[in-house]
Amino acid sequence: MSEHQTDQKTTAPSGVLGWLADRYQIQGLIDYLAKKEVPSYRHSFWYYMGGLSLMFFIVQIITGILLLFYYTPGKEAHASVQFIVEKVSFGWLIRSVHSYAANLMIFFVFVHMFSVIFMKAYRRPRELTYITGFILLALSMGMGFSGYLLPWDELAYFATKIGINITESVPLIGPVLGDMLKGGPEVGFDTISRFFALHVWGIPLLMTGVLGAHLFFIQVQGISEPDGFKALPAEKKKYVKFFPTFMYDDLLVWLIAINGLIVLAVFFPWELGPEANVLAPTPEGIHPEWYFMAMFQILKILPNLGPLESEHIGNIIFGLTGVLLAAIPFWGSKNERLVTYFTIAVLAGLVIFSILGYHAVGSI
Amino acid sequence: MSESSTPQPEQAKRRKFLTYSLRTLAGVWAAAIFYPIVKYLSPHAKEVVKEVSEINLGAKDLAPGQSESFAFGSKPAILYKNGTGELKAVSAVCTHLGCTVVHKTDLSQAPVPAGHSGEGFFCNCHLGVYDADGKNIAGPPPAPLPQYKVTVAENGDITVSKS
Repeated sequence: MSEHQTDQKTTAPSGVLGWLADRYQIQGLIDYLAKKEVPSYRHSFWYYMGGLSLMFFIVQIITGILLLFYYTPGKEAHASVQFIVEKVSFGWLIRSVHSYAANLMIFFVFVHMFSVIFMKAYRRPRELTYITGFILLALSMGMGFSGYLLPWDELAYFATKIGINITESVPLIGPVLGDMLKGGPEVGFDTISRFFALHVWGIPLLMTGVLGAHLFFIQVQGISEPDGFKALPAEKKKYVKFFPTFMYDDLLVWLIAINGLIVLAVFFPWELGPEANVLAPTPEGIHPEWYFMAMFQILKILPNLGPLESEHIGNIIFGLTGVLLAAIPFWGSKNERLVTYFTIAVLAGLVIFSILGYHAVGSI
Repeated sequence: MSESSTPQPEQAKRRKFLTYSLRTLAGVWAAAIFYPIVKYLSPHAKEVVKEVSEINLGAKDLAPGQSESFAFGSKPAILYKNGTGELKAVSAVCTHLGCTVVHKTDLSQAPVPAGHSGEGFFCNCHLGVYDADGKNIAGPPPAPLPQYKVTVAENGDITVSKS
């Protein structure tokens, strides 16, 4: 613990806490939480991004469980979502909130990751916090991809087809993995069942475990302080108590975010497209969700180079970028500037190709 | 176990042997657990899907430039009559990433990228363009659309087969 924390008298808890403290050794935990502090400075609002991602994750679990009461995977998938949206009281709202919160969660996970990189919070000793965070980003995108198919509308069908085809183009394990995901010779009702199992059990269970580790690491090591703050003389360093100050701030941010989410869901309800028809041609202007848009656009313009088909080149680019991003804590302290430039390049690439992608399908 | 801390050569050998045996056993055990799971997940365990090589579409009356989708086994395909009145069939699965292509009588219309004209096939996913014979001419597709053989019987029945 750093020197700025003044020693506090341990307070003997009363009530329920006191009852528990009598039986279990929680006094240390209570003292720790009472002392927990968060640095306060100009850029400390970036500290809310992880919390916001967590809040959207909680929203997803709650709305996801509610959707499960009516949703049926397989042949009736589209009809059951239609039933939720058209017949069930407030079904449209729950489904809409689930779709928007999914997007917002991924958005804030991205913002969280980029802010962590730019503030160099990935440095020793927080490598594992960063790595678990990166895994959570990958799992979130997996949730997005698996959940997208479940309503079985046209967009969902073709987005999944493309995604699985890209998976299959990975050498060696690709075809096996693709077959396992599809559950049949083609993307079909069997695929819905598999994605359903992954979406409601497989990935969430993994996420909960990794998230637990991620939060645990943060509690053990405390939140990262950027260089500028660390360099301040002790009397200029401002801290706020986590309980209750930062927690109330956090809750206020959550409240604002939930209100925003509900405004979106009410005034711009998430659409349900026509049921997927395996024989019909792919509709015009088809495109994936925004977080896959840059990849989608890059796949459009990549050429076939000799024996390498364009999707192989795509795989190499996306795979390499992912590995480099994931390994940022291990680039070495001499290369921190390089990390920043690389991240700026990735961010710029994502933004530029996404804009080009939306422009190409006529949305911009 | 003080005597085991400085093992005799004979003991060391035995210990090494035991360690290797145990590791091998653990590996075999893990494989025995893992193998059924992998097999369970592979799609063909449930039923073997028959490869279709021929399909009878019955009698159809298509005008030149007209097309119709049909399922060739589990995959979409297109039967069409080209400008010269010839009846043809191609797979509708884009050779890029597997979306379903659409038959166009005129490729010069949007959303097909400019610079193409006449009859052909177009994929809306990544803007792949094929000519009237299914040959890939622009965009990312790496190969032409597979062509099928079309035969018309005397009673007008159309049969499409993999040639």
